[in-house]
This record gives sequence, structure tokens and C-alpha cells, in this order.
Amino acid sequence: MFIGAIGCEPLQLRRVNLENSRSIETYRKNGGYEALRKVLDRMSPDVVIGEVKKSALRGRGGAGFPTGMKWGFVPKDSPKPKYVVCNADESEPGTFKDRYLMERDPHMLIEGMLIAAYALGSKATYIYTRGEYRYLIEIMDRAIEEARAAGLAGDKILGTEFSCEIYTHTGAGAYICGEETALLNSLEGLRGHPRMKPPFPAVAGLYGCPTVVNNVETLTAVPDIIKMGGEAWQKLGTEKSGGTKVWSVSGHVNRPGVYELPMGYEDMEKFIMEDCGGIPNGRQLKAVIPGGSSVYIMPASDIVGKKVKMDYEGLVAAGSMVGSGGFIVMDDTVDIFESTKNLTEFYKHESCGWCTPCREGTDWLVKVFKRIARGEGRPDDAQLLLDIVDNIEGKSFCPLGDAASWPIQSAIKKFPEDFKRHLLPLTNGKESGKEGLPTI
Amino acid sequence: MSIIGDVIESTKAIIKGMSVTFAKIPQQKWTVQYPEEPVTVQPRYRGMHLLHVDELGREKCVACYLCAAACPSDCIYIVAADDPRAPTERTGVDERYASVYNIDYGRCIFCGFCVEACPKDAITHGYNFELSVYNRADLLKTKDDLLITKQKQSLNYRVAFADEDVDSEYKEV
Amino acid sequence: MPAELIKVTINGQEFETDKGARLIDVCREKGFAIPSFCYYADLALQASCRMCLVRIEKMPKLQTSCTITCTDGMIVTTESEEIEKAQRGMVEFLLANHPLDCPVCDRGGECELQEMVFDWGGLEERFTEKKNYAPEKFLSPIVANDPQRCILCKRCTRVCDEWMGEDAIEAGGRGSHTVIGTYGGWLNCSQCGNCIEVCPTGTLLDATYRHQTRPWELSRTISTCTFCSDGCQLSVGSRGGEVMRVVARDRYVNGLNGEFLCIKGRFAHPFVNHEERLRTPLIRYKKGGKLIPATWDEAIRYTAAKLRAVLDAHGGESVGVVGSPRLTNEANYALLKFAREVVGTNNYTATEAFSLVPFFENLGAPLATHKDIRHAKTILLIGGEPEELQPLTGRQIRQAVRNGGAKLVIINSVPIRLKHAASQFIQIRPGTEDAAVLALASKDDAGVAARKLNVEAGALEQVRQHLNDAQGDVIVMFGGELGAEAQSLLAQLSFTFGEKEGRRFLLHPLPLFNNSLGVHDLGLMGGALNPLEILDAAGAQLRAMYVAGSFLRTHLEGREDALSKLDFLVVQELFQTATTEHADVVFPAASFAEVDGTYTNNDGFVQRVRQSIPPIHQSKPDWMITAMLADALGTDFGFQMSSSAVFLELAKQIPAYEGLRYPLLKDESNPVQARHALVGQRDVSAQLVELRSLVEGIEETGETTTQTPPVGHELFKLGTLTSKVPQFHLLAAGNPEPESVLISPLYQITIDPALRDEAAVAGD
Repeated sequence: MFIGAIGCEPLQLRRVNLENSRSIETYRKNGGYEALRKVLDRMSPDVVIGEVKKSALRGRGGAGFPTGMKWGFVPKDSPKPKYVVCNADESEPGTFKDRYLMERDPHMLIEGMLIAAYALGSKATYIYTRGEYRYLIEIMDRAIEEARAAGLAGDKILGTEFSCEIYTHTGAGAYICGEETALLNSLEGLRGHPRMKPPFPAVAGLYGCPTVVNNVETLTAVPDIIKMGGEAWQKLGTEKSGGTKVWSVSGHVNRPGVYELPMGYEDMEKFIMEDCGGIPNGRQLKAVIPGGSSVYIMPASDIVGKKVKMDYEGLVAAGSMVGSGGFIVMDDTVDIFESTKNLTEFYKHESCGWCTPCREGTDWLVKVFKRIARGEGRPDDAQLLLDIVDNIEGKSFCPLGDAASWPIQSAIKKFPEDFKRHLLPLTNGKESGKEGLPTI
Repeated sequence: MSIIGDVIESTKAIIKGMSVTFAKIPQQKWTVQYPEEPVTVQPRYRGMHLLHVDELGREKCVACYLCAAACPSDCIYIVAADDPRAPTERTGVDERYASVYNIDYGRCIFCGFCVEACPKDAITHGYNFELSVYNRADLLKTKDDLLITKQKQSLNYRVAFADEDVDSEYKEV
Repeated sequence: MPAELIKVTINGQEFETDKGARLIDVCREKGFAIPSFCYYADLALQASCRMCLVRIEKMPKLQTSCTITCTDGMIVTTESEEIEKAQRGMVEFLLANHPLDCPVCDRGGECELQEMVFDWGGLEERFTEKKNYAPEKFLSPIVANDPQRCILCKRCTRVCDEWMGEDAIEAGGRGSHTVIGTYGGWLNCSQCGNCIEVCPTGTLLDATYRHQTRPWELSRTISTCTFCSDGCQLSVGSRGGEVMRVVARDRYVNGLNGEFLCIKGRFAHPFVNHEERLRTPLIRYKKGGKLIPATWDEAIRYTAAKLRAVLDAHGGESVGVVGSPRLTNEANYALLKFAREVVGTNNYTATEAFSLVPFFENLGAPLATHKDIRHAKTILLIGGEPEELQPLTGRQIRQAVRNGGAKLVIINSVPIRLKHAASQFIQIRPGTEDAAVLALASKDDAGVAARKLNVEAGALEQVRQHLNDAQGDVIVMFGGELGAEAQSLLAQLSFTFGEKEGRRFLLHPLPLFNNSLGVHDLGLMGGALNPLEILDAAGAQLRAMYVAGSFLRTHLEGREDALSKLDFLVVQELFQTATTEHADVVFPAASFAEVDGTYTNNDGFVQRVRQSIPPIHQSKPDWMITAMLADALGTDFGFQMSSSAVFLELAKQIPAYEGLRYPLLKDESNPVQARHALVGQRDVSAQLVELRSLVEGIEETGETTTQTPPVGHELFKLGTLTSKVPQFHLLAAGNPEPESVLISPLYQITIDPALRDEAAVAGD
């Protein structure tokens, strides 16, 4: 498994391959906590937020919302305490970058959180990891203890007036708790389902107080932005998507792993075929899900020879999204019907049950998929699936409904043959007169 | 007009009338010697209602009151009840059953709406048409009179087979 | 402050509306149908059913109109192909796993899902897969549950949390496996049934009404509850002379309780048609003999003759007349008239648990309505336990605290459950509530009061400070623990604290019975004797007694044989009770469901009781029996068999009810408050001196309990009426969990009838 940077200097992954990379000594030897020192000594909170805005850093959790703007929403004059919450509930299928960042370089996250806390005037910060990452909590707790011993967390950090406490918390194993408001509910000890927006967490989040929820990778980018300066960091990437992005590459490639690429990396085909070592066993590329399971699937025809730029704008232009950067490669042995069925079962299992379309819709979708898989597919089932998906998309309470819809929509659209094969019923040994698929 | 004229006219009329009579005498007769002979009723004939049971002998009626609601003459009265026993021991197919089910045949117009309304196929029209009683109160039939397992069937009718052409027989006339 | 007006365009039409109004309300008000399940006025927003989708210009997706507040210039579309498709899609989703067993569902016919499907459903069902199955089960003796019918609108969980503060039901599981359930599988709450009330489908069901009839078969009568003094408005559903159910729901307009009812109001109605109801008049011809059924003519004639004999022998003062706070104003008025005009006696009273006469004599501030309580800013509760004895008041307090940010101060000898909502809770020694009033009324006595109360003086000073600084409405509530002097001082409390801009004192007594205020207003409590004295006088000063209803168990304690000393005792009752045991004549009276009349609740609202079924067996309304008896004794009351004629005369005689007529009382959404005379500032120094000496005499020994009494410790007690409901026996026995929740616990658990002995203090 490969962990490293391609096409740029490793920033996020600078220390991950070093020996004893978890320890504070290694971190400090390699430029750690310099950014925090710089912030505490020479920068006001507004200047920090200004730098982050300049850096064009976009949220790495999936939605890609500009981080600087998010921080700017937090009311400065609110008498309530403010919180920074790190969203380490990395549950998106195909995504595992945060895990390596936390496992191998926990201090980078701590530094990023402290800088964010300083910028937002927060005295308490939380790291919320998914239930399956319980072992990471131990690593994080140890790192926090080390930092505290070194005067880098708790009261009077680095001898300044700035005090900040870092708490860790695990979820109970729910995908939906990666959604920021559901995460806050879970953190408060409530049922993990999303909250109504507005009010946004920046105004009323954790315990009704202004809260910023950021992905691990977003926070770990902050120390480098401070060190390099926002503009320099942004120049690593493109104008609207600054810096570098960590991709989790899995599936049918010879060299899966965690790749750090500059934003706007020029060609996805080159990335798959050269950087990731190509498709094993000489098979052909069939499809790529570039940003975790919740985005549109891209057929090989949309990638090969199309020079797809790997950044927010480039992928949207190519018909998909960056999402969380869970890069899943599929070769021609994959039945897209089966892979979509698998994903739909995941969404059905993870639907929180709050709103009607997502709860009932995913249940229905799975039932239809299972029936088709049993060989009882009907010619109009593809249209039925699209109809159900259409009734879910855009009508659900939170984006999970959309996330469940998009893979199915794109799969039926881009790989009609894979569906047709399952749907066409044979009558008296001959194909029925009806076409298996609607015209899309 | 003279008397002779009258006689001729009336004789003509009698001959005309009697010619119909005499012409019919050799033809086949349709009169049924009821009750010595059973009458044939259509398969879709709407006679006295039947309340049905399932294969285990449990009443199909779940006392949903839809028949009573549909009834234009308001002749159906039901009291629903709860049967907590095990499914095989129950009176009805469901926990809910009709502890009282009355139809007042003094009011029933045999429109069949109740049968249409029934979601459980629990009530149908039977063929029994001999409903006359000496006492008006006896027109009120209870579950004991209506249940298919309890209703006394008259021997005075037969139901036409589904493919039996009963209608055109009469139309010939 | 009038709200700012803004302009909103809905479907091309421009409307003016208040700034901050909710879009769904505005649309509905302007006549645009918007379907919804989870949106429920007065509950927290949910936005989960996704039925109320609308298109708002400049917003990316369809928006749920229940979460949108109107802004100026908003352009809204509520009807379009896209919206209709979305709504039909939602109904299709809701029906996907719905069992569609409407024929056996008790909600069939009044189900919101059913109605919605008629309006917004698709013509054909595309869901051909297997439905998720879950069996119908019982959550408690009173609540049945069919999880499969659930559409997860979560009204029930919100009602339980926000109205009742109990959080007894909550959603469990997730995704399509989400079910509404209880903690531990068995519902141990106050069994108010409000979750059943608000459920839009047949998921939560009234187990007492389960599989009984169908809603369209019921005739609905709006009436007033006959249990506690809150006077909730309810709808009695009856069929063929039988009361089948009581709900708050199917009324055209809202009463003071909205859709709220408690366990007694909602479920304790089976006493009406109970087989033990008295069927005919009964006569005991010989002392110690049996009660023998008789005709009305015979019973009236016999009673009149016997009463005449007593009157002739001993005079009017030898006859006692006892009314009841359970009966209508009309019945009590007829009794009072009987006492004054036929018998000519001052020995009348009512079987009330405690007297509020001193309170009304010194009434210095208006009575608080339940709406006032909901919007109050400060609430002081001395003694009492509204959550158990006046559940609606309890809910209003909780809502005031939760939604209105009210400050609640509780002074009680028991750590009652409301304590959790209180901003200040002062636990005092049992029986020292009077001392608390003394401390509030007179600053100088705070020291001695604090010693007697066994609290820190600072705490009482804090309460005083609190009342002094309060803004907005200050509601002072008190239970039956207060003595006469304390009541007088409390009634004058607004003058103790003086006038202050923006502060208003309101008083809210917490009597126990449905017409407690009525018997006070009529003056029945102002007779020469109180219930205990009248019992003590039996056999001595009193030779005969005419009792409507029964004496309370607390009255008869230690005086069990008092009634047997009478020469002649006439009782009118629903059931055989301890009082009828000694009666010479018993008349079968009609219950609240069988009579027309009025009750006066603790707000002072005079509310209508309406006849929903004809009187059971041979029973007659109480006032009619009294009038017949008066007629037989030679006085025509002139009521002409009409309760409105009784009320007309009553309204002419009683100043507080002046001008009231039945037609004025017909609108339950605008209840009419009796005009209780405010006496203004009075010199209460005499009462203060009296109270001071009383407080000084209190012994400083009482033990305080730290145990919060369990839910239902008063509500579930068995009284004459509630003991007629089999489910109450289970609840009174601690609501044991049965072996199988699939069958009603009534069929599985038998309760020792000896439990009936622990009778209810109140509200039975």
C-alpha cells in the first residue's frame, strides 16, 4: 500500500512514513507546532481566518464548503461559548484518509484544532470519531496527553493567555453521524439524526452554542496554511480549490493507497494508469467512483482520453464530484448492478429513519434490487428504480437521501447494459417484446 | 249502431282473443309448480345474505362496519368485539369479530351494496328468498340465521349452472 | 406590540401577513391546502414527513413550508406538477410498508393517513414487495400499539416530552426498522393517552376502546370532564345509549385544554354504563332491612311522607342537606333551594374536601385562567400536586417553563415531580404550608416561619424578592393544605407586595373536584356546618339528611356509624357506596354523560355539560329528583323539567353568574368566566395574628421525605368511579408487565380485589 504525494511536496503526508511518526518529538523535529507558535505570538484571530480565506481551503469532508467562510459565520460577539468539533466520523465507503492522518500524525490534527480554536475563540474542542475507530481514540488521547505535558494543550498554551481543552468521543457506528448536525446530536448524547438548518451550527450548534465542525483533513491543512501563508498554499492548487488533497485509492489498481495530489492534478487517466500502477491482470478500466460512494459513477469512456482535472470544478465538469476523495476503481469484471445494489443496501442500513423519503425509499430500493437479483426482475423495474430515486432526491431532510440516489441514477444512466441483463425476462425461451430499459 | 253490428264486432273480438289462447295451449309452458317443484334462480340472484367462514370454520367478518356504512336502508347492525384467544381458537379470522350481526329484512332492499363494500368477502347474497314470516319482528335475522354454517337452506330452489341459459328461456315468451 | 406586516406572494396572489409567521400557517389561512403529518401546532418542528413541500423562488430545492418563516417579498408556489409529484411520492412511500388493514384498524374512518391518501395518493400501488412485519402489541393496559401502521411523524414522542415532560416513549432502531417504543418494553407513565390522541394513524390505540366500534357510528357530544377541577373539554362518543369513548380530538373548536386530556378524562368513562349502576329507586322500609326496588312514585311519596314527619316533629333545622362538588351547578342549586325553601334549614353543605370560603371572601386578585398560566412569567406553587390532581394545570406549568421561560417556585413538603421544572424548590416539613404563607405575607415573621418549615430563611427571602422583582403575570397556586387564615392572606397577597408597573398577580386555587368552585359560588359551602360537623351532628341535632352523592372516605373515617344514627337518610347516587349503606331511600341519579348542566372549573369558567346518552335504566338528573321531592312536599320549583330553566333562575340568584344563559356558554373556545367579586384591599391583620399563633404552635418534628412519589400515585388510585374501569385495577397494582405483550394484560393478570381498599383522595 502506497502512502505519499504525487506531483507535489508532501504536506499532509509529510511525516506519515517517518519512524515513530506519532510522537511529539518526531512532529516537532519536522516543523510541528511552529504554526501554533506563530499564531499565538504574532497573529490575531481575524488574521488567522483571513489567511484561511485566502488559502481557498474547501471542506474535505465531502461538501467542499469554503472553510474560511464557515469560520467567518461564527458570531464574534456571542456571549455563549464557542466550540470546534473535528469530524473524524469517516464512514463514506471507499474513504480512509483521515484514519491514516490520525493514526500516523495525530499531532498535526491537534495543532490544526488548536489554531482553529484560537481563531474562533473556543475553549473546548471535540474530536468525534466513528465507533469503529475506537483504537484511534487511544492514539489521539496519548497524543493529547503528550501535548498537554509539553504545554500545548489545556491551560495557558505555550505560556500565553490562550487555553483550550481537547476531548475525544466515539460514535456508536452510524454513517449519518458524519453529517455535522447529526454528529452534534450524537455528541450531546441524543439520537443520531440530523437537525434542522437553519439555524446552522455556526450560530447554534453544540449545546445551542456557535460551533464549527470540520473534517480531519481540513484541520490538518491549517498548520501548513499558517506556515506557508494562505496565498502560497492556495497556489499549490487552483484558484477556487487551493492546496493539496488526499485521495484514498482502492479497488482494482495495482497500487492502492493514500495519495496526496495537488488540487487540479491534470489527468485522471494518468493518475490511475501510471501513478496507481494501472489495472491488475491486464484487465480494462470499467468505472471510477471518484469521491466516495455518494457521488456519480464515471464510466471509463468519460475518463480515458478526456484529461479529467482532479479538483472540485474539474470533476463536476466531468459529471461527478470530489466528495470525500474516496477513489474507487472498478475493472471490467465488475457488474455495476451488483455494486449499486451493494451501495444501496449500505444506504438503507445507514438511513437514520428521520424523514419519509430516505427511510421508506431506501428500503423499497433494496427490496427491488433484491428481487431483481433473485431473477424476478421486470422490464419496467429500471424505470421504477429511477422513479423512486427521483422521489427521494432533493426531498429528504439531509443529504443522505441525495447520496443514496445519485449512484443509482448514474449507474442506470451510464451502464444500462448491466441492468438490462438482469431485467430482461425470458418468456418461452424468447426475449419478451418489451425493451428492458426506458429511454433516458 | 245496430245490435247485429254489435254482435259481429264482439264475436270478432272474442275470436281474436281466444285465438291467442288456443294458439298457446299446445306450446311449452313456463309456469313452475312452486312449491311442489323447485324454482331455478340465477347464479347472481340476490337472496338472503350469507356470512361466510374460512377453511377452519372461523367467521370471515372482522366487523369493519363497511357494509353497515354502505347500506342505503340502514338495515345492518353490528357490535364489534375483541377475541384475545389464539388464532386457531378464535371465532373469527382476526382478533376483531362481530359479536352481533343483524340484518333487518323488513328494510333490506337487496341492493347488494353491502356485498360490494365488504373488504373480506365475508358477506354475499345467498339464494334463499323465502323470507315471509307471520310476525314482523321475525324479519330481523341474527348471526345464527345468516352464518353459512347455520343458515337453513330451502329445498325449493335450484341455482342455475354458470353456463346455463336461463334468461333467454323467458325472453322467448 | 403589533407585528410588522410583510408581503408574500402565494400562487400569484399577493397577501399581507405578520412578519415571522410560519409559511404553512399562512398558506392554510389563505385557503391553500398543504398536506402535513408531522407538523403540529404547539410542538417542536420536525420536518420529517416531507408532505408540506412548496417551491420558493430563489431556493434550490423544494422546501418544507413548516420550517419556513415568511420574509418580505417571498414568492411561493404551492401547486404545481413538480410539487404534486413529490407529495404523491411521499404518500406512496408512507404506504409502502403500511399494512393497509383499515377494516380492523380502530382509526379507520378518522385516520389522517387515510384522508391524505384520498387527496394525495396514487391510483395504483407500485410497491409489490413484501412488507416489513411487526405484530400488534400492548404497551400498557391502556395503550395498544401497531408498529407497522406507524409513519414516524413522532407527534407522540414530542407530546410525551413537551406536554407531559415524561419522555416515556421514544423512537428506537433506525432506518426502516425505526419503531416507536418504550424503555424496557412496558409503558410506566401517567397513561394520559395524549400520544393516542395526536397519532395520525392507528399506531397508538386506546386499548379500552379497542375493536369496539367505528368512529362514524359514534354520535359526538361536547361536554366537560367530570373528574378534576381543570374542567377539560371533551367529546363523548356514544352509540346506542352507551358511552364508547372520550376524546379531546373530534371537536370543531378548541377548548381550554386543546387536545389534552389525562387518564381519567380519557379512559375512566366506563362507569357510565357499568352494570353496578343503580337501576331503580330503592327503599329500606325497616332499619337494618334490605333495600328493595320501588317505583319512582312510591319512592318519592315514601320519602316525602318520612321527611314531612321529621319536619313536623323536630322542625326544619333537624334536616341536613348535603350537595356535592361532583354534581352540576343545577343539581346543587336545586338542593340549596330545597334546603332554604322547602326545609327551611341552614344545615347544608357539600362533600368538598376542603373549603375555599375564606379565600373567596378575601379575593384580592382575579383568578388565573389556564391560558394565563401558560404565558405567565412567574409561578408560585404552595402545596398541592397539580401533575396528579389537576393534570392540565400541570401541563400548563411545564409548558410555561419550557416554552415560555417562566420561573417556577415550588413550596412543598414532598419532592414532587414538577420539582425538575422548578427554578427554586423549597422542601418544607409536612403540614407547615401555613408557615410558608406567613413568611410571604409578613417579612418580620420569616425567621420563625423558616424554623418551623425547617428551611433556611434566605430561601424564603429569595422567594419574596422574586415576587417583588417579577415582571409580567405572577400566578399564585395553592393546594388544600392551607388553613383559613393562610388562604385569606394569600388572597390578599397582591396588596402585600403592592402595585408595580408591568406586574399582575393572579390566583389559582387547586381544588379537587370538577365543580368545587361551583359549590362555593352557589354558597353551598357557606352553610352552618361543614361536612365533618354535619356528620357529627347526625343523630343529635340532625334527625334526617338528604345527601346528593356520597361523603368522602376522609369524612367518614372515624365517623363510620354517624349516618346510622339518623332517623331518615335519603341518598341519590350512581352506585352503592358507604353512604348508601345506611340510606333509607336511594334514588338512582344520572351521570355527567346523561344530564345537561354546567360545571365551574378552577379558572372560574362556567362550562356546559351536555347530555350524550339518555339516562341509564330509571335514573334521573339530580336536580329533577330534588324538584320532584319538593313538589311532593308541596313546593313547585317551577323548573318545568328543563335544566336551562334551573340555570336561568340560578343566574338570577347568584351574583357571580349574573346574565349567564346556556346560549352564552355554547362556545367552548371562548369560555365564560364567572364574575367573582374582587374585594380590594382588606385589613387582614387579625388573620395574620391568628396565623402567627397557629404557626408558633406547630411542632418542629415532622419528618420530610426525600422520595419523589411515583407517577400516578394519586391518578391511579381507585375511587367509586375509577374502580369501574378494569384497567385502573392493573395500574393501581403497580402496572405489572404481563408475560406476553401481544395480548391485553387484562386477560393475563388478575388483580386482588382487596386493592380497592386504597381509595382515591380525590378526583374519583
